[in-house]
Amino acid sequence: MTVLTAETRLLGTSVQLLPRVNLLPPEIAERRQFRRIQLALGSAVLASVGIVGLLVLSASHGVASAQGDLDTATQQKQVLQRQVLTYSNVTSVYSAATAAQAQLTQAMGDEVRFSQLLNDLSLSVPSNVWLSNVAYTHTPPVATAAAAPVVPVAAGAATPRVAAPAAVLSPVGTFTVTGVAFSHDDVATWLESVAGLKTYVNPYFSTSTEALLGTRKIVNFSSTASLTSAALSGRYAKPAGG
Amino acid sequence: MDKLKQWIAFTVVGVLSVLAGGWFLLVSPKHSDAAALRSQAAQQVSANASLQTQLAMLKAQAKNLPAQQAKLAAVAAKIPDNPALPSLVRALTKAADQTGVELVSLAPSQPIPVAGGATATAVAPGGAAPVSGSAGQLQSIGLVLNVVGGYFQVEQFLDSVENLSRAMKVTNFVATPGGNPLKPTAGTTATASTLSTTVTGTVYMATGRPTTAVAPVGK
Repeated sequence: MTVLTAETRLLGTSVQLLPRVNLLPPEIAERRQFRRIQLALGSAVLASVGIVGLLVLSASHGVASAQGDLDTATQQKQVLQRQVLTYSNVTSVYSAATAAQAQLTQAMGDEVRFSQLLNDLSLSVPSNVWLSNVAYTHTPPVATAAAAPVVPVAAGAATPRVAAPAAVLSPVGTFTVTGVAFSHDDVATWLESVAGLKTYVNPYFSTSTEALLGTRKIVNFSSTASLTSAALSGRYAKPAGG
Repeated sequence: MDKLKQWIAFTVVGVLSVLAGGWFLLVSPKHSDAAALRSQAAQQVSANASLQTQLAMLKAQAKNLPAQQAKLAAVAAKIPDNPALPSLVRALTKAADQTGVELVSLAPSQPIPVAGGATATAVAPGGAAPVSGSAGQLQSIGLVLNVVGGYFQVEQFLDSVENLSRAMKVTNFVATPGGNPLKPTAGTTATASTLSTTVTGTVYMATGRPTTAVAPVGK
């Protein structure tokens, strides 16, 4: 072809003018083309297999990576659990202390310090009143709200007053006393002095009877009152460590 | 051309089959496995973070352990694990001697379980360590005392009783004029200033308390 081209150039003619003759039988050409297509198709199938293989490889890598993360986390968990186990005594002591404190609060949470009540009582007895019998009864406080009771005042006294709301000062006990006074007015003074103490509410009297002690006229009386929640010591109701 | 079309069709079908089969049979299960593993790892990491928080809290609590043990011992003294009547009697006698009252009689009753005291449990503070602790079954022992003395002596005695190392809750108090039956006085003046006092109270005990609860912790 090179020679021919050169000759062609020399002759000043064009190759394009020459007819191209293909002597290959068309069946063979078609067969070749079919084989090429077959190869291409086979390559496509192989490529798809390769793609799948790559995807599997990538997915396997992802699985391995995730498994590695999980193994690392599991190992760290075991290490941490071992460390936590070394402090199990701390947990048990704290739990026991909290439970014991709760038990103490349950047992003594509603304690009333009667020594303080007696001390307050000794300071509030009027000068013309003497107490013969004193009795306190402690009952567990009831968490029910009730209407504010009217506080009656002793004979000859002024208008009754309304006590503090029962929800705030719920009774935790009763106080009963018998005593001697010089007059009914002294009994009234006694009731007022009891009402003035924050630990008592609803002072009341059942009798106030004149009698003779030798030649002296006296009054024998009996009175009651309720103990308010202010009488609770609260020593054991505080939170742990408080 | 028909043959070529068939080949192309078969090839397309084959490629699609390989891709679909590979995806659904090989790739997708591995993706699922990886996702599951990642989820497990994430949960584990979260759990580890919780453990680390718990560990940090425990380390902080360990510094305050002696105080907790002292508190535990103090409560154990106030509520022993047995009736401990000998020590109670001695403590009351000592209180009576110190305050000048005559401790005429003591009458303890049998221990009875306190309602609602069976499960005196609590969790460790902080909430991160939900380990329950038990303080045992709370039982109460009723105690009736009869003391004789002056008003302020009785008041001092009550104050001593309220501050015993063992917890004692006074529930009733009745004071009436009366002398000491062991030291009768001839005149009535001394008797008038003397009160015969009945004090009803309760002491407590806790049975079944874990022995390790007050054991020293080697830290």
